[in-house]
Amino acid sequence: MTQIKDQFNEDRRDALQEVVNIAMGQAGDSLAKLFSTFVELSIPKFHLCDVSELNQELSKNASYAEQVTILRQPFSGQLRGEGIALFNNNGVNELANLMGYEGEVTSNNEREMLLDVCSILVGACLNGVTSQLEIALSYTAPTIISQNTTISDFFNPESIQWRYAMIMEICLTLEQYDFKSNVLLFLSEDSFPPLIHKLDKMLEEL
Amino acid sequence: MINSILVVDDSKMSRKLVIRALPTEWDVPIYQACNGLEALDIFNEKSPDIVFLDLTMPELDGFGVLTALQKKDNKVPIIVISADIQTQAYERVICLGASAFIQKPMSPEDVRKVVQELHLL
Repeated sequence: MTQIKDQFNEDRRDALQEVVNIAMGQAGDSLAKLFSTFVELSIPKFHLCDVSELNQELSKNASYAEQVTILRQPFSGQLRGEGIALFNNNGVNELANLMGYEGEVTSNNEREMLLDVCSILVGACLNGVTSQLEIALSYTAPTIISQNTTISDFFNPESIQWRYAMIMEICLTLEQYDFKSNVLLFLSEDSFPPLIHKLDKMLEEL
Repeated sequence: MINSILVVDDSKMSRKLVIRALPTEWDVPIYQACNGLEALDIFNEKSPDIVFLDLTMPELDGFGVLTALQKKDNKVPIIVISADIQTQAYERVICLGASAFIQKPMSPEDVRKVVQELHLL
């Protein structure tokens, strides 16, 4: 693990955080346009851990004790991993209002809205990353994987095939609503060498 | 006349990008800060003639820096360079006294264009 952590030295982490920061800005703008409101952006957080420590690592964020709905959007290509979007339960209840939906909200409507928002959010994040790193990724359609759960209940290390995970974590909060979304970009360990190559290229150009 | 510059960003890479993008005519001291509180300290101590300011930062963000400087009736041009590209972010920083807004990722041409528009070159 030390060797893996050493690969992501301070400069590479800084470069990756800035790449994700710019991608998050684009995702925030997409969300702001969709909901016609201001979106507060967090500073991206970087985690690199053995998957057995994943829950412990993520539990450092207090909001992960909240009940959430979890969606995933896998991606592959020059980098392989998953975009995970978490929506707080109150936020899910606000979605119909935010999207100007009139009438009774059925579970199907809610499902469609969640998938749309996840697609916009994770798609904007990934597009932001791919355009800066000049890489190509293909995306699979998002799916809802769990509702009314907590992140620690959801991530079972035994269900994850990778030994190490790199996670970039961002949080977007709507200013006037009780709506919050965390986006976690998981990268598999086989994505580390091509990612490092791209980051080094960026750093060399400075 | 630009005699010193303050570049504020929590990312070292981003600060380097901004510094590299500065007009070559400005061969002057460049101060760097990695959060808003540090930026205010340097601003008060060194009195820079122009500030390049990020928005999303720890300790005190760029909005907080602008608010603090607005209270001091600041006249120094502040150019916000941010990944927060929402229209409302732009409107807020202009209301808080920023002179211009450049979206990240930015290029040297973006910086040159803005400083020329502000008649700083």
